[in-house]
Amino acid sequence: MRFKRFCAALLLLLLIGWGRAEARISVAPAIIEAVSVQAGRSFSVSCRNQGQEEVEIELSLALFARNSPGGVLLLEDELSKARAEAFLDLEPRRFSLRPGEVQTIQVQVAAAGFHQLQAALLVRAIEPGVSARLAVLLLLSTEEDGTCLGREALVPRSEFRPEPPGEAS
Amino acid sequence: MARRKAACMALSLAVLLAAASAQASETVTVQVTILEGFSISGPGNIIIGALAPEEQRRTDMELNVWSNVPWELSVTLAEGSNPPMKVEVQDMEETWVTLSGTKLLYWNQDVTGSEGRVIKVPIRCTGTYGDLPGNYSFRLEFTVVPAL
Repeated sequence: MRFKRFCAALLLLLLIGWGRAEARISVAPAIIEAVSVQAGRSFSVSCRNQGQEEVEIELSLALFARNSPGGVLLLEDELSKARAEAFLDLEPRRFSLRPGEVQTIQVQVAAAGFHQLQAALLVRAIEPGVSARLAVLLLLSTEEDGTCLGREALVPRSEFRPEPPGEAS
Repeated sequence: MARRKAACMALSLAVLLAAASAQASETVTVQVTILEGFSISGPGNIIIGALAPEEQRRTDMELNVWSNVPWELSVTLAEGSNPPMKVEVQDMEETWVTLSGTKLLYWNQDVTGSEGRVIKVPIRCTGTYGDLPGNYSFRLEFTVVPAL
């Protein structure tokens, strides 16, 4: 009887412990703004594992638009993802990080066929249950005048019309 | 002659000492740029347990967010996750929102400071007689986005 209770308590502790296994990732910078962007220009983003266990990280690209004052709406439909992929290259795409380890992610402009690009680099920690993502925002312009990148100048969702990949906006 | 030499030496010494004292009090400017950055940690797994038809079960999960820029938090069902039962999460205004597509849970959030911010997200599942018996698992994906 005591042994059964002991086993039940042990199982409960294990379940609680399992449920609380935390992964913590951090990313910097969170926002990248650049003007006069040309093909080949690259930007670095550092990703750190601040948790206690090794974590697998997966990267992807999307677009974003503003949906309220200060609010950001991620556009993850196929068209938006294809447009982001047409203009930006990522290296690496997937990697694992040991506790305390840092990986530098390179985001390179593959084609500068845009005037403005509002893209998001999505950094995802792959976990079995609840996974966490961090979205790094890239506000890029091929023009010299940076005022077009002003954070107030973002395109409201209602006016946002993604274009097919390869076509300049 | 000797006096002149002594005067010259004294003068040189005074100049050197003045120079040395000037060096000792020199300041160095250090320039550092603090980047906008953020971090998130989650519980990993949540166990809802057994759910009978027309029964509702709720559990609260906690996320930790650290950010030195204003931020937002949204949730979505991860790709390939398709739970048969109704899954709802509560947003910052304590409104239950059904999980389909991306839902914004926290908005207009200020910087967290070094201690971070604990976000409590209640989740509830409701079973129906349309759900076939079995074990199900699905993945929730929480995304922190910097606000602009």
